[in-house]
Amino acid sequence: VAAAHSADTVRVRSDDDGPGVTVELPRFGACRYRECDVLAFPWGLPGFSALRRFLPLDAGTGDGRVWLQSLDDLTVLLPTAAARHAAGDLASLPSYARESLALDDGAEWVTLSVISTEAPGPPAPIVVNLRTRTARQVVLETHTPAAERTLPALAAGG
Amino acid sequence: VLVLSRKLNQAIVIGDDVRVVVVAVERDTVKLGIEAPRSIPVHRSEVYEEIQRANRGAAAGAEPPAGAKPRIAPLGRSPKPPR
Repeated sequence: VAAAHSADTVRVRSDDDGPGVTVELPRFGACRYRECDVLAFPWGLPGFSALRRFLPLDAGTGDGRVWLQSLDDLTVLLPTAAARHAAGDLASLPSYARESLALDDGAEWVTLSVISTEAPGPPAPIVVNLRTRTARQVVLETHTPAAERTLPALAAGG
Repeated sequence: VLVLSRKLNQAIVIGDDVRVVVVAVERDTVKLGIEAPRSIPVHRSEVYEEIQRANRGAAAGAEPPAGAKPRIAPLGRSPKPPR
């Protein structure tokens, strides 16, 4: 059961009474989850590049806040705010995000914005493909359609 | 650190897929054109470092409500109106 976790930081026990595992979280206590609940971050997160698996948790406060709990390092917990999007909003994402997350016109996706005490920086939502449960933080500061259009011209010009 | 000298319109190649071209040089500013697969994100370093700091700060200050009983957040099963 614990194969996907770092043995020195994670305390996991298997359950005999059904599918899923229960993990003892430092901030929340016991939490039961199934593998299909896990969000995969194949590219890590800026600042936490080695962490690849997170659980999206609802603390029951009704404020739309989603707590991203690392399963690779249980001491890492990120507060985020969730927003759903219409399919047409895909154009607002840079192409690397759409392609790497396999987001097409019919994709179901949400964004999670990290709630930080640091000074507000450029928008950098975590984009989640709900079908594949794959996620990636996308820095929007440098994304403009015009900037992307210049690249083929450069390639042609050598 | 590898240091290379390049002139206007000259390039460096990183691996098989990434090519960085000096597009313009104006006083103390160099404009770079970057040809890379669309799956590779390219960011100014200060922007990326700002996101790193914000994420680490968020994690350092994370304080869930006392006594909260967490459950898996229903990201796709409790739709809110689209933006």
